[in-house]
Amino acid sequence: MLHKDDLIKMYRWMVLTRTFELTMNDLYQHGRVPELQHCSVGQEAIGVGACYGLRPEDVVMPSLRTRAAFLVKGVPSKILMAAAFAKETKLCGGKNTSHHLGDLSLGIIAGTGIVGGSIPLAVGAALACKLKKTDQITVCFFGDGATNTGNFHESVNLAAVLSLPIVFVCENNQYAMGTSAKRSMLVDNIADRAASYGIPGVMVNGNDIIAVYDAVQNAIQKAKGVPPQPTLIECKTYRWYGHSQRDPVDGRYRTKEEIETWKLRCPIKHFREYLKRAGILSEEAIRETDNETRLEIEEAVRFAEETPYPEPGRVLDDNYAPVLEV
Amino acid sequence: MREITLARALGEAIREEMIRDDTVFIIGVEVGLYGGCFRVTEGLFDEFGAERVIDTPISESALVGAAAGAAVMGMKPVAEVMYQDFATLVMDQILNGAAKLRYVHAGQATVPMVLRAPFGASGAGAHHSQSIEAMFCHIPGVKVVIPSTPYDAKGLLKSAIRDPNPVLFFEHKLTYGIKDEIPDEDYTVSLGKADIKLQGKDLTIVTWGLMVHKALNAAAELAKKGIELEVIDLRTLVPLDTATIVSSVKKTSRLMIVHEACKTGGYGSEITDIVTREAFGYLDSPVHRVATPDTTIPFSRPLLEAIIPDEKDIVAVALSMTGNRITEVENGI
Ligand SMILES: Cc1ncc(C[n+]2csc(CCOP(=O)(O)OP(=O)(O)O)c2C)c(N)n1
Ligand SMILES: [Mg+2]
Repeated sequence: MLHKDDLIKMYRWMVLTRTFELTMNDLYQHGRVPELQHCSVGQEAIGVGACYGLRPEDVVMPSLRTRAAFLVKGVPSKILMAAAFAKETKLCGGKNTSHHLGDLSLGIIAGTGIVGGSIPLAVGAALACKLKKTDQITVCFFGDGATNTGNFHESVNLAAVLSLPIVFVCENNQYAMGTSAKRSMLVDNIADRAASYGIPGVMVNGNDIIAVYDAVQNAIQKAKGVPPQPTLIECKTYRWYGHSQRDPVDGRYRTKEEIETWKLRCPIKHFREYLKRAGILSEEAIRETDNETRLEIEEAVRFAEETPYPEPGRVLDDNYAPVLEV
Repeated sequence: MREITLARALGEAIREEMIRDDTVFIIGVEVGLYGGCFRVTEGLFDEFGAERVIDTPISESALVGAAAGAAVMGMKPVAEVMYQDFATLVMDQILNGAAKLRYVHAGQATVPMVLRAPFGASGAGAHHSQSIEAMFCHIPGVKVVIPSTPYDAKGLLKSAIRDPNPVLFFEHKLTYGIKDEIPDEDYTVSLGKADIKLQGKDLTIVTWGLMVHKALNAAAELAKKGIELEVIDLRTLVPLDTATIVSSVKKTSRLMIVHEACKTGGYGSEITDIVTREAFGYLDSPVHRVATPDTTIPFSRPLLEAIIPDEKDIVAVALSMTGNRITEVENGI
């Protein structure tokens, strides 16, 4: 059950994620951060809603657009920002971009930059947890476009057949770069694809953080069941910005009206109104959250700028693990 | 000591490692109930059960990616792909997954997995006959192993399973039936160490897999003509035992590389490069590569025999490389 405090924290995570994203977007436009961003603004409710109820030992495999997952799972915003700045961090040491990094101590596995390619790895994480008889859950994020890859079909089917404790969370923002889901699949709902693997498929409003949270929690119960059962959750959402900064906000593959319509369904605004109506969040608390998160991200940028670049002398390290005599 | 086949030696290695370490498990298509396409994992399903000998749907990419993911989470998977030819289907999971996981985690992750796959021309047609080891040698982050004898196969596979890195373990199908005496007790063969299978002073042959046996046969032929071949079985292609190769070439002054893979971009080029830099002044002859020509591998036996390197090819090239003796051959001596 979520308490008042939880709701306030979830709200704060969404605001922090958005502030992080907007700041990074701005920095990129000014040439101050080298990482090409895949902005997740508009989709914050998914990463926060799915990860909020997870335990530290639970495993997540973020997609290229699950910024929130890193923050909620425990990566400090300043470390994430330093990674985007290609600076020295314990997490990736400048060896990979911030949207594909991992911290195994926090249960985050680094995904690959190949759309759909991370899904098999997540299935393997769930398999390991099952074989080791831990009760860890794996949550695997990916976009609508990824559900057209062979890796998606192979992996979800494999997880179903092997009865693995995993939750598949599709961030359906309705586009894969410039290709709408309508142009790349003839099913209306990605959740319907679950039927072909014999597992539950659940469709939720991905801009409703509580709906996402509930769907994931229900799926976790199934993943912990006897036998464990995976679930495919489709979160319908929308990305407000271009695919990356190389893609204009209103590329020719979608209309301004569509973008504006979806902005009215802002997940943060939606939740804020709800919390206000429920008397959980005052105007003052809202301002304070805005202020606090802004300061945190400003500090993150300062930290990232001051952090040194990684030592070039270590560039070849970590290709292989040393072999200890056994 | 017992005499067993290479296929059995592999099965024993996996079995003993599964007993030794309960994080070791098998995953693949037909590895369990069926017993393995080449019977390598036969008996293990009955002994260890479906939980540790995991049959999967025909989903090579998912199963190899799952092996990598499980390895990161502390397991030691031994994955099998039925034929190396199918490894193209898992290339992404190897190249962008397994091989890079440690690097992108800045050393936090270890990926102790093995991927086994049979390879080589055996009269099974264009899609079940290839030798594409060089493609995998080009991937930083993985190790590549190819055994030629039952003793090596068992010891190398044990090392591969214990290694904290992704190890691609390729087995030439025509070596599965080769028999050898192997010790009863536990032993390993270190990865990264070549084995001089035959000492000689006139010419060094560097080779691996089935070709080791062809080179040894050729050496026996040439010995009758007074030419002594040194035959180096690489056993591990990555990491490469450069020192053993270079010191042998410094002794013999001649190098021939023999591989079943087709010539262009074959691993022989890499070895040629190393030797021409590190032992240039010692060479009395250009380095020669005996390899399959650049072609799809055919089905029909006469076609196969026309292209796959054999003892005759090795003998002919060795004779021409050792110079003075070529005329003896031409004269029918
Ligand atoms: C296999 C592959 N093809 C193409 C790309 C280039 N690419 C990167 S992200 C992307 C779109 C992915 O769409 P989706 O899965 O819906 O995620 P979204 O970007 O919408 O969050 C594409 C085509 C890639 N990285 N990998
Ligand atoms: Mg999308």
